[in-house]
Amino acid sequence: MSEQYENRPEERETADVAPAAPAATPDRRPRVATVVWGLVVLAVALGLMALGNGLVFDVQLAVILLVAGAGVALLVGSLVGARRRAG
Amino acid sequence: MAVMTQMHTGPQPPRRGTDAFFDSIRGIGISRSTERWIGGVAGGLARRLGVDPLIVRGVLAVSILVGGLGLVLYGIAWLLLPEESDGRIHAQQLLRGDVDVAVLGAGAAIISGLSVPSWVPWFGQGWADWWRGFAWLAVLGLVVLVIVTAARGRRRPTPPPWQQPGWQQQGWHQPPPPGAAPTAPHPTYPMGETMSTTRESVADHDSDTTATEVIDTEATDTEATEHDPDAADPASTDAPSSTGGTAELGAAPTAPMPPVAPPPPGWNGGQGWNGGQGWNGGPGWNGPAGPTGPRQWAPPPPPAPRATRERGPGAATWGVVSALTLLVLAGLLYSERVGWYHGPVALTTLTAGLALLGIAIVVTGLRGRRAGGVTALAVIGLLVAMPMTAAANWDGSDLQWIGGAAVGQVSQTPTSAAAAEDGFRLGAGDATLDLTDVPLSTTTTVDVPVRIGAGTLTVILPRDVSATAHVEMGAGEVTWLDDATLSNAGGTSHEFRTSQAAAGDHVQLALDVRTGLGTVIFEEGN
Repeated sequence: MSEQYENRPEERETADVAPAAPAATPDRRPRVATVVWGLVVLAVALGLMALGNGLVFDVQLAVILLVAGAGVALLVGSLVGARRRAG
Repeated sequence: MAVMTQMHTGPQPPRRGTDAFFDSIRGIGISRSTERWIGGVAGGLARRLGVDPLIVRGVLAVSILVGGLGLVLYGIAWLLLPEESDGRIHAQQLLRGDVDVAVLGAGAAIISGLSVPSWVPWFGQGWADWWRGFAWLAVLGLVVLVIVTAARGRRRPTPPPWQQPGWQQQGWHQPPPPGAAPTAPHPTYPMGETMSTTRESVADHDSDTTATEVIDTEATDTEATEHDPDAADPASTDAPSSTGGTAELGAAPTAPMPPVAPPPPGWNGGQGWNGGQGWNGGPGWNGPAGPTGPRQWAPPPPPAPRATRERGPGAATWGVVSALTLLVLAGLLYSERVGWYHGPVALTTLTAGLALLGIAIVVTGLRGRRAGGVTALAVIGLLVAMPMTAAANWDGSDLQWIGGAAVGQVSQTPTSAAAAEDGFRLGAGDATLDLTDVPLSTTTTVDVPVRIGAGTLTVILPRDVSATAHVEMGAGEVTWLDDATLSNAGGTSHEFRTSQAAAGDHVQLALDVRTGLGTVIFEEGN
């Protein structure tokens, strides 16, 4: 019983408060650039897979759309992130 | 100091039999250049040959174009050649459980090299099949090895890159400077003593003592059993008790080392483990040089504090991506075997893996973590997948070479419908295909497939023929008879027809032309 009593304050300080708060809060926010980059990789991979398996489509147009889509996604994500941080 | 300790843990992994092999590769003198496009192989080779790297890269590109062998060799070289900056060899690191992303890049290069259609029979047709099957097995084995070692490496963090100064000088590139050898030819320090007396004062001694900490228990066990006989032999019984680690404390070296003296190069002295007799080889490490017995295992020093790191995707992400990719590969291989699937297995597996990597990056980003190594791998994968995709659309492996050559300025004049229908191909160059001598009838259609990797193709059609042409190009220009030249890029295709065909005449000649990069010109003959 006495041991528990002694240990509790330490536990709270070290385990609950100290590491969790600084580590988790800034880290949990999604990284827009990473997400968009992942989507680009996914889209290119699927496009290459389709091409490799004989699907014919306008690659040039697809690249244009991909670049535009990535740009829009980055823009929106950055603006939303900035607003959330400001607010 | 903490950082130094970390850095110094690299060069002293246990020497294994394979290490001599890797040392011999280092002896070739080709290293992977730091000025690199992909793996630095071309740059390193160019430096060794004393030519411009662009020349090597050009040769490599052509070799990939004509059969993928160059890509396979590149991947192998990527795995086996040492890094210029620090001498690492990926394959060697792999055997030690240290997986670098570049290993996967090299593996991808090998896979894609194998999947480039064999325009040039490497060893003849039968050999090619045999070789491909074998190579596929090797690639699969490599993948399994990567995953297994990755799993092991995660449990037991492996040494960081071998960046410390002196590693190259003392480790493997050069024999140790004679003056640097200790006065007594004693390759092994009484580690306990060194540690206790000089740990704080001499940085290099610190590095020596920490050498033991990276040796995993498994290796330690091996070493211990290997050297028990040595310990018992007369040469080593000079030491009062040579088998116990702490006993070595009392066994002062024959020539006492002042605590502040720098240690010999390498971590066990002049008989460094690059000397051909590895330090776990028989006579090398306590034979002529070790009167006091083998170096003993010091009690592991306390682990060095680890720098806090950015959180990466995590082991689970890597595991899931690897596992699903392997399942895709297995599924495709089975589907191909039973005849459900006829597409490019390697490319589809690679792109599926890339798609999974993309999902992994998205998830990592949503979790607020950095993609890190996943990004590097995705970039490498994309760089490999793009040429593979171009190659997958190449269906000309059973066509005949224009003029009998894969590369060059060639021309061919087929004189029968059958010869024309066999089709034509060219790796790279300037090809002229004269179809004016092909006998044509008004009731049948002669289909002529033509595949060009890169270059200029001139097709000469008979005068007043009723012909059509389907042209697909990666990028380039196409000129149809007297029409204007069309430029295009990005896999566009065009349909052309002569005025006779347009007028509804029976089509006598149907061309199916596909090129990666270049110019296609249709002309009318006499």
